[in-house]
Order: sequence, then C-alpha cells, then structure tokens
Amino acid sequence: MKLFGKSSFILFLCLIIGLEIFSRFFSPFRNYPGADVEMRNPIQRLGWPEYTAGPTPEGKELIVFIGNSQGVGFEMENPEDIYFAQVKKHFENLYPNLHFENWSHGGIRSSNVELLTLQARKRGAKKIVYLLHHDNFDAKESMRVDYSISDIPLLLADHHIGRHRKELMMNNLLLLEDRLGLWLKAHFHTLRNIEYWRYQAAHWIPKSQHTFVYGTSIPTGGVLDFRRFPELKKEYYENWAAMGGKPKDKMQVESTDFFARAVAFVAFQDNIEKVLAANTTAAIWIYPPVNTEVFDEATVRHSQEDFYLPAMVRNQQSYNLTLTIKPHHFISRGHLNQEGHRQMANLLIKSLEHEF
Amino acid sequence: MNFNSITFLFFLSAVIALYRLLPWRFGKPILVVASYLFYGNAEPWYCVLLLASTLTDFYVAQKIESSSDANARKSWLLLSVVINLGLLSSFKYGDFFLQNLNFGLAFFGADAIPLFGILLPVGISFYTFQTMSYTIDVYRGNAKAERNFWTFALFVAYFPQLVAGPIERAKNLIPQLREKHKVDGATFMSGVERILWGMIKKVVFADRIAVFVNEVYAAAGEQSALVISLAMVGFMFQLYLDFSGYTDIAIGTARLMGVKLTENFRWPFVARNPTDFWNRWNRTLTSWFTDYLFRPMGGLMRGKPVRSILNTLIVFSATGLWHGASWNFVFFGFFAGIMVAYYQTVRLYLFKGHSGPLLGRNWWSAPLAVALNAPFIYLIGVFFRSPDIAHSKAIYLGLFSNNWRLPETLIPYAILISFVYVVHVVRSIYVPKLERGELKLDYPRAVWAFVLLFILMMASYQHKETFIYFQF
Repeated sequence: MKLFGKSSFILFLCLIIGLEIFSRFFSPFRNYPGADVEMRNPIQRLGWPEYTAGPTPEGKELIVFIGNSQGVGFEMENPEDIYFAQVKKHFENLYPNLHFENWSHGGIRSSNVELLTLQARKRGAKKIVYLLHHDNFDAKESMRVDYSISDIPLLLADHHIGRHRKELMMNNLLLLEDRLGLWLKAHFHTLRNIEYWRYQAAHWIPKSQHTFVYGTSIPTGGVLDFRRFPELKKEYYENWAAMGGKPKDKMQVESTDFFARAVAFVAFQDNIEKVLAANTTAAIWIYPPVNTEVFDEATVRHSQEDFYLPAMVRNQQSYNLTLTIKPHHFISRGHLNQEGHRQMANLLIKSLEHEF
Repeated sequence: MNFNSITFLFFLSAVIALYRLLPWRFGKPILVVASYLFYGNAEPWYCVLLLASTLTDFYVAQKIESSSDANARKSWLLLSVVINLGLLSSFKYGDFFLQNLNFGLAFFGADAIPLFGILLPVGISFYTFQTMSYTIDVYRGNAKAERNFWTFALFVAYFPQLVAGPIERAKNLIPQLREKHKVDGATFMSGVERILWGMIKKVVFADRIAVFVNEVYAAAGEQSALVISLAMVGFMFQLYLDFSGYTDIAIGTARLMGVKLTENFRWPFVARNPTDFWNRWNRTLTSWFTDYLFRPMGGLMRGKPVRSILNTLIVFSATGLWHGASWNFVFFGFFAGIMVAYYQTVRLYLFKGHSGPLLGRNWWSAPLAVALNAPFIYLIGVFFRSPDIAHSKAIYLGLFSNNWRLPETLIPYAILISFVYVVHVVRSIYVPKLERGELKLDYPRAVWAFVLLFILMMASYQHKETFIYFQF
C-alpha cells in the first residue's frame, strides 16, 4: 500500500489494469464454430473473428454464407429449422468435400460484409453466398459509419484485413476518431466485455427502457460514400444505358432514398467482385425476400428495376428470390417463420444445385 | 476537437505527458501549438482568427500600458474593441443583420442582399470576450500587460477553456500560465475525477435527456401538456448537464496541469430568485457583463427605477444575443431581464432595506423560494431551445392542452431527470468537502474515479451529441 500511497493515480491505473486482466481471464465470449444458436444471440456474438478464422476441416472446401438477421434465424426457436441449416445439411450430404459456415449477422451493413469478404478470402473460401437485400443498404445510416456494437474492430485488427483495408469502400469513410476507437476496441478486452454486459443489461429491462442502457436502436455501419456519389451515379446511368434501359427522369429518382441505396448497392457489388478477383473465391448473389417486397407494390417495382436488375444484367451470378415468398411466410415484418425458412431452403437448394 | 471523443483522450494523454516531461521553456510553446491543433482540428482557418485576436490584444495592451496620454490610451482601447467586436460581428452576426435588413428591404419592395453564409467559428464569443476583458483591465489598471508572447498566446488559446469557457480574467489565468506547476498525485487524481464526472454528465445524462427533448420539440403540436412541461424541465437539465459537464472537463483538464480555472456553476437549480440564478449559472459570463457593461452603464441606481430597469433589460438582451444570432436568443435574454428587473425593483423599492434575498433565508422558506423561482427558469429555456419564435409559441401553447397523459415510454425519462437531481445533490455535498480538505480519502477517491469510469463505459449513450455551447 505504500506504493499506492504515493499517488492515488497509480492506484487508479492499477484498478484499470486489473480490470483488463480480469477481462482477459474471464471473458464472456464463447466461440463455437458452427454453433447457430450462438449466432442468434442479439449481442451479435462478440468474438466471431476467431470463429471466422477457422479451422476448415482437413481436405474440405469452405462455402461461406453472409446474410442478415434472416440468415441468422432471428425469432426462430429451433436452429435446425433455419434455412442455412437445411441447405448445409443437403449439400454436405450431397458433396462430402464441402464445408458450410454461416457468417450472417443481425443488422448487417455493407461495411460488415466487406470485412467478412476479406476474411473469407483469407481463409481461401471456394464460394461466398451473399444473401442481402436493399434494406441492408440504408443511405441515411450510411452517412456515418458506426462500429460501436459489432465485432468489426476485431476484424479490423487482423493483420491480413489491415493490409487489405484500402481495397474496401469503407476505408474512405474511416476518420482518425474511428481508427483510434477501433484500435482501442481491438486491443482491450475490457471494452469488448463492457459491450457484452451492456447488451446483457438491455435484456433485463423492457424494450421501452433500453435508452437507459445504450440508446434507441442498435447502430450498425453502412458504406455509402457520399463523396463518391456523383461518380457512382454516373456509372449507374452508364450501366442502364449499356443494357438498353431508359434512364429515368433524374430529378425524380434522385429524390428517393431508394435510388441512393440502389446506386450504393451496385457500387458495392462491383467492389466485392474486385476484392475477390485477386483470388479464386467466387461470389454468388442471392436476393432474399424482404417484408416490403411482399406488402408494398411500389417498393417491389423499385427494388426490381433499380436494385436487382442492374446487377443481374451485368452477368453477376445472382438469383432473385424476392417475389417467391408470400406474406404468410413471415413471422414478423422482417423475419421468416418456420414455413418461410423451409420455402427459402427449397428455393436455395434449387438455385444452388449447379453451383457446387 | 470534441471533449467527448477518443481523439481527445489520445490528445490529452500526449499533451500531459509532454507537459510533465519537458522543461517549461519548451512546454509553454508546445501547449500553445497543442491548443491551436485542438482548435484547428475541425477547421484550420479558425486559427487565423484566434491568432488575429491574440496579436491585436497583445500589442494594444502594451501600447495602453506604456502610454501616459489618456486620449491615446482610449484610442488604443477603442481599436481593440472595434477589432474584436468587428470579428465577432462579421462572423457571428453578419447574416443575422442582413436577414433583418432584407426583411425591411422586402417591405419596400427592394431586392434582397445575398447572405455571407459564413460558418460560425467555434468558441469565437468566448475567446473574444476573454481578450477584450484583458485589454479593458489593462486600460483600467486592474491588470498588467503581459510581455511574454507565449504566455499571452496561451492565455487566449488555452485549450481546456478555449471553446466554451469559463471566460477567464487575466488576473486569474495569466499568472498561473507563467510557470510550470508541480502536480501531486491527489491533485492529478482530482482532475481525473472531475473529467470523468463531466463526461458522465454529458454522455450518460445530457445526451440521453436530449433524445426525449428533441422528440418533443420536433413534434411540439402533438404533445400533451404534461409531456411539454417535462420537456421544458428536461431541456434546462440537459443544458445544465451539457454545459457544466463541459466546464467540469475543462476544469479537470486544467487541474492536470496544476491550473485552477474559475467555477462556472453553483447549484443553479436551487436559486431562490432570478438574480440568484444568474449568479449561479454561467457565472463568468454574468460577471463579464456585470463588470464591462452593466456597471459602466450605471447598474442599479437607487432613486432611478426606470433607468435601472432599462439597464437590466439592455444587458440581459445583450447576453441573449451573445448566445446566438437569432431573435430567439434576444427574447431569451429579454425575458430573463424582465424577471431580474421585476425582482430587483420589488426588492429595492417595495422592501427597502433588504440586503439579501426577499424569500428563502431560512429552512422553511428556501424550498418555497426555489419552487417559486424554478418555473420561470424552465419557461425562458423554451426560447433557448426552439429554432424560432413560431416554434417557441407552439411549445407555450402546448402547455394549455388539457391532455395530461404521460406515455409509458416517457416514464424512464421522468425517473432519469429525478435521478440526476439526486445524484447531483449528493455529489455536491461530498466533493466540496474533499476539495476543502475536510475529508482525507485518497484511496476511496481513486476507487470512486474507477467507479465513475465504469459507469461511463457501461451507461454512456451511443449517439454522440456535440456540446451545446460549442455553437456560441
């Protein structure tokens, strides 16, 4: 105690260091390779980079699914009912040399997908199946990247990812503030534990009071770089012209948030293809159903014309499943029920049967 | 650079390390450079204005001191005031003036003059007033002109209080900046504790209350009277926690370097009358206006009630305008002035001989005085928060809605506001005792700071809001 007596600040520092040591020994993170139950945990698992780091079983080829909360199976009780589990079971029986992993993420945004793509490339994945829809490209959210709650800092701390970060669109958006924050989160377990505890606390109290714990919503990051928007928009129009389409009235489409997202989506797809071009990893784009496709005709038209069609016409390996799911397949406005997962699994199996 | 940012954490750690390691002859210029980096982080050209203000007052003050001719001294002072107020007016009030001029021109059918569209430099109102007070003090003989440029540059740009005060007087700050201070562990720790407490006020409480207040103000016409009342109280709490949180961080940061800044708040919500409130709220600004505007105008004059009322209204309207270039802020100041003028008139002319507050000098009347005074504070806060007069009107009209329902989702906010009050009271009793040395609790202090850090990490609100007073 004499040492502490010299300065209470030393004691303060010792307490912080002690907490960090405690966090390293008693980390609440558990990494279960292939444990889908764990993936459905709304805390977004916190610790998945270790999981995504492998290992792929000896002599097998890795197939990675990257999707949103639907892919995780939010609101489903039994992990065996999730469409990923059914697809995995089907294809692993059919092709014993394949190994399927589900890297889906609740509230996933393009920044998360970019980083996971680099990680899949690092692991030498044979194919990456992207299951994303336009709701994963929220232009307003994308104005500012927020990685505060996901595991992104840990992926960014990976040397391999760090080396290739410049390949990502989101790299342009990272400010000094973000980089410093990500560095802290990547290297101090206490900060990761704090987030875990905050989420746990959020589960104990009613939703209406969540603002006490962390805020009104769970923020995630998007990667629509508005500084590049004029350039991206030009590319988008050129694509339209190249496939013989008639560009719409500019004023009309530019006023819609939907159009902004569509432009971002196309640019994002090009970026992902570029990232994967260096390797043998191939991308397969699946457009899964989204609640608004089913309930709103105007959105259906917009999504088909502005969002998915340009990507399909550019010869990207893609399957549009948006119109094959009906309202009764949804358990809520955003997530599929058991029947919906079964239907989705059948569609995926049919679509992907020649891909592997 | 925002205090509530990771960048500031790294910046502060580097500055404190350099401060402790380097001899003062290097340390002082480095602190000046660090202050300019801090200020220019958002917009580097802001630093040009800061430097202009520094150079002007550094040389003008020396000229005033060295001159024996009263007219020459006055001319130099005038030059400083014109340059400082000129900078402030051009960058802060230029568009406001043109908007009002255009309104008049439109009345006569003339074409509007295009606005400047200049982005307001952060903190210009604070450092302009600080440098002006220095020159006026030198002119009055209350302070000596500083001969060392680095010391003066640091006085103007000292990063802990540069952006949102406290507005320091030369007599207090310059002598402290002349030398390096030895900072012992306990002082250092009290600085850390003050910073953490300021951060908690901001990111745990103020930013969370802001969510509720913003929602209510965004849909003023749709809220019940109870919700609007709660938002009015909530906003004043938010403003207090935000601004005093900033001040706590500023004071704590300066304390890490052994510098004592002036306390800017003293329990404003237990003020017993309007005058008492302004002696507790943003005290350095109040005292600035008192010393450099109110008293020169004559202040409160016995036997001249009309002149006294007029002086009060002018000074408070000017205080409102200082906050922002908008009629809303002028109204905010004007109504605050009416409250103070009314109270002072009653005190001076109806209760002659009363030197203290009219009500609240004993245990039973103090809560009554607080309860009578508080609603007026919450009422004038509407002008501060609303973007324009029409919005303020909508909020006030909402008070007459006969719907007194409190939605279930808002109950946590009501609890939060009450909780903040209790925590604040408990801490206000405990910490001053520690600072006066009445309690010697070195170990618990470190533990307490650790607990604060833990609360900060566990309960901070995710969506960062910038400090409200940064816009002034």
